[in-house]
Amino acid sequence: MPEIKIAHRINARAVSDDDLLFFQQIGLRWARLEFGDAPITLDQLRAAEQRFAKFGMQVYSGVHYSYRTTRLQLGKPGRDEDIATYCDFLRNLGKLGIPVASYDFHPANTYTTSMVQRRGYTAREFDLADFRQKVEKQAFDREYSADEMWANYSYFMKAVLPVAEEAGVKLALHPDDPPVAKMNGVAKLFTHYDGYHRAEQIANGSPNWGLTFCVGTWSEGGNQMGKNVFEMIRDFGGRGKIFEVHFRNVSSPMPHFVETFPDDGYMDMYQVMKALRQANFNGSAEPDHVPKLVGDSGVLRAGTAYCIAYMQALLRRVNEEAA
Amino acid sequence: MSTQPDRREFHRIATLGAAAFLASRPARATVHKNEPGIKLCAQTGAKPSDDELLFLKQIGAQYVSVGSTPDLRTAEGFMQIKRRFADAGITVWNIGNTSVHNMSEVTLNLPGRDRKIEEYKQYIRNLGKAGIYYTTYAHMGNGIWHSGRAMVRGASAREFDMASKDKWGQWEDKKFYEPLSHGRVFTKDEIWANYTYFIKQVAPVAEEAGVRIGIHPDDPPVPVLAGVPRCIFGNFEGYKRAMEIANSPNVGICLCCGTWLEGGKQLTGKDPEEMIRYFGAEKIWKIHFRNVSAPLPHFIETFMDNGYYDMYKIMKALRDVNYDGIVILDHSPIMVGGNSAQTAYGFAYMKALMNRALLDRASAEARA
Repeated sequence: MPEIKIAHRINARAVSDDDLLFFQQIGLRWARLEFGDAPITLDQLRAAEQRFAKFGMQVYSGVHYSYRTTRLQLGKPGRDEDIATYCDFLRNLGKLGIPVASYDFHPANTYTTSMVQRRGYTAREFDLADFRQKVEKQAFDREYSADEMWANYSYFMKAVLPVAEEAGVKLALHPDDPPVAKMNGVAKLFTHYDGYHRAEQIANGSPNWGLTFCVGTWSEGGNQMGKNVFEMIRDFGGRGKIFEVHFRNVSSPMPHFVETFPDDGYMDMYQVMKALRQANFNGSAEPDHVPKLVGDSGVLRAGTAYCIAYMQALLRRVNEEAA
Repeated sequence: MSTQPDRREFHRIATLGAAAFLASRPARATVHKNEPGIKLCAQTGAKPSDDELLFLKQIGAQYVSVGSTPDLRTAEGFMQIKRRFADAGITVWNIGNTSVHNMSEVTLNLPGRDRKIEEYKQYIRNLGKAGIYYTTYAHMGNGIWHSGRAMVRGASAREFDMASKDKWGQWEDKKFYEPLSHGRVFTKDEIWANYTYFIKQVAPVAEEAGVRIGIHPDDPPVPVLAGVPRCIFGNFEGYKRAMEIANSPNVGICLCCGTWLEGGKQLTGKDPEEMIRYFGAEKIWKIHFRNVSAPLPHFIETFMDNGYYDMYKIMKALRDVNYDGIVILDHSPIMVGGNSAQTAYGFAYMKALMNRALLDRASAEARA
């Protein structure tokens, strides 16, 4: 039976033992470990894995920001050094049997135009008009076209995919959140079904290429995405190309949205969980961004408890209904 | 145990006939009709801070069940509590009073019971005056029983093991021990007589005040503990007969699913789902939504998702009987992150199950 793994993204360097105990208490058994951009050795990675294991959690995926540098993503001199660092990270994940590495490819991105209150909780808002009028400015020395960004992405893939294949690690590509085709002078590639389709062709049938499918981002796009959330799950998910899912909701599609708790947005998250189960998805599902409740700080315990409980209840339902 | 009305009730029904029987109900009985729909509810203190009120709003809690402090146990005090929440857009469903929630004097006919019953009646009248139309009562002679704490997923939770020699009962600051909590063995007949004595006096007051009394099961529903039978609110037949004795539209059930699951079907006769389907929304007014590891003789309280029962069965049954009372998280294992994390976790789990159940009905109706 395919098993959807409820997981959570956790800053492996900052998380306290109390937080890990808390995650154990809410029934979390899988984690996505984030290491930021500071160097991370195999020993450090192993120590983190062992520390999480003491609290009953296995590592499902790893994130290291060596892929996120400007020179790597904009195709500047020095990018090969960053690629080499990232390849080392992938090899280390492979040595520990950590199955997935999640990444994104959107330098110069703006996620948020302001933080707002919804149902009284604090959440990220994005307003396209506000962004264009008040926030947007050219981020780098010049503009970067889609063609250039495709060349940069292809260069990166050609270098890391063979390493990932050899290491037995799957590369999970996150869409560009929000799905706006160009921001701050840089084209964004993964804002539509077509972008993923093209990326899959670049991967040329590699079983190690796939998606971190962010339901939040895709819901932000609404009917502008070429395929909707459910069509994406049936297409990529049905072919085993979704490795990780960001299971979150938003108030409405663009041009304006606020991130919400799973029960408080426009997307029916039960139907999303059901579609994942029907596609035999067996990767991780993660709350991703957790809205902030009063009194919460750090890992946002109450908000995280809310999201994880909601997901656990949905998952149990869809598993029972599929049985 | 007989499923028939007791002899006295039977005699009355036979003598008066059905129409007269119905007409014999107090003319002044008031039962306030609830808004339709399952109401997810949070448990709070009587004097919430602004942050606590904001938290309730943030998790989407529109109803609360409140524990009162002694200084607020008057009609005016209850109204004050109600207003404080109302200003934040939250409805107070219930204001508890631990002084009369569960009274050994009443259950065991100890000295002072009439004084306690008078205190209870005044409490009911105060609730009615304040416009609080529901309260929970428990008929336990020697409290809730424990044998210690155990870890559930790293969280400390209540444990009860019949085999433990150190187990104890507790209500507020009173502790009770084996072999005899009150110096002698009590008979079932006594417990029934004491219940009847109480409810016959209290029901008319509740009817006049327009307050519903939901009776909570004996936790745990072991047939006898420390000399005291738990014969009425520990099994289906007991509840059924108790409802017949009360014979009042204002006396019903607070179904603590946790307690009921502790008993298991072997002791209780019906599982929580069957209880809900049998008694329906006419008699079940409050649901304690919690789970345990296994039925007696040994259980640990768990989170909703990791006990032995599938809690969705409860939510589906509530949907099917058009339940319009409250559903509440009860006795969470203790989390790092404290009460707010526990409440958020439980509330979200219930919300997901409720949404799922309602969607199911909506699609059935759409097909029809």
